[in-house]
Amino acid sequence: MSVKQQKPTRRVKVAGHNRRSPAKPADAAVEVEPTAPEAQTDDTDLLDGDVDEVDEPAPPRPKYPLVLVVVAAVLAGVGVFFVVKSSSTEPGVDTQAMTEVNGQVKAGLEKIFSFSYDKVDPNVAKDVLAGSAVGEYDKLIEQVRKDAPAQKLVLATRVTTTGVKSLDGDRAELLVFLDQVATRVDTGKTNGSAAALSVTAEKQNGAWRIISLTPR
Amino acid sequence: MKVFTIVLVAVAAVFAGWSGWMWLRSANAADAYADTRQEVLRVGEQGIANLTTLDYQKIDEGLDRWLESSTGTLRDSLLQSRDDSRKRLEDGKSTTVGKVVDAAVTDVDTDNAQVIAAVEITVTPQGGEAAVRRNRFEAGLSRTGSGWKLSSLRAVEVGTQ
Repeated sequence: MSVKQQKPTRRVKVAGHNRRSPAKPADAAVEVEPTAPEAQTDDTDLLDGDVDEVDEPAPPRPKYPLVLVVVAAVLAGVGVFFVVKSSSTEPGVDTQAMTEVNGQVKAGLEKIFSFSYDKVDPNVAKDVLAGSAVGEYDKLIEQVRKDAPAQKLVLATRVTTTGVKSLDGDRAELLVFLDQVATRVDTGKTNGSAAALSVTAEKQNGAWRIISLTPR
Repeated sequence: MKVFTIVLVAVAAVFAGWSGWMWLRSANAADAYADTRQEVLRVGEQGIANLTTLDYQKIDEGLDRWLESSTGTLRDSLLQSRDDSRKRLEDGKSTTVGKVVDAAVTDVDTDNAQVIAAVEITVTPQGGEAAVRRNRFEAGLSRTGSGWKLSSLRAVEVGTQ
């Protein structure tokens, strides 16, 4: 936004020397005959020597639009601030955390409730569970684990739906629907079952851990 | 130049005013969203319980409650099958009580929502022994002139999703 360049252009028009500029007679009438050297600045091809003089006679007028430009910039800045603010406060409930806890609980449950009789990992739940959930999980899985080697059991669990019941900071309560498919490799029989779990999760060191598991 | 600058200021002022208003509105909307979630959960739980409950000794009362809790296509189909439902119940003479043991909102916007629930359904035949079934339900809700109501309800079986 260079005021200096605008100025001379107009004056050139005024003087009527400039054949190239589109005429703007209304403006022209106001600014009759300013400093001559300036008038030529646009046509530097004609008078090279005068170019450096453009900077010198900065008239008082430019200051006024400059203030307005600053005011406009400030207003625009305030506007942008409001827009950013409103887009960040919109959800009311922390939807990002909700997506996060949904995803991590789903992944965790599928991991700990899926296994094959020939590769049972006793530490599978270590990163997923904490607190009372550890004992609750052992109780749920105990029988299946015991039968697994004899029956050559493969258990596959898929979380079909998760819903966040409440989310308060680092603590969330969820209801989860799971489909379980148990396959006995020795007989080839497959058995599907529907399950629902109430889950409480807590964010520890940046990751959501299941701290309570209740079958429904 | 002058005119241009004045226009610039005017545009910037309008933008600032508009965005300020939007901010105010979104702050209110944020509260409203949290309230809506709570309301949807409450209505969803109640509606699912209502629609899984029916006493053969109070058939019309129960069927009326079904209609009160529902809207849209669910209400239409309940209305249509009302006579069948009544007859079945009169013949069967059983009492069914649905109890929502846990529920959660899976989706919600201004006019529609979805709620899942784990439900314990106790069926007691006349003079017989009560049997308890555990079911998973998914309900769709719609906002109506008289609050949120169930617009769909289905039992979630294994492998249906």
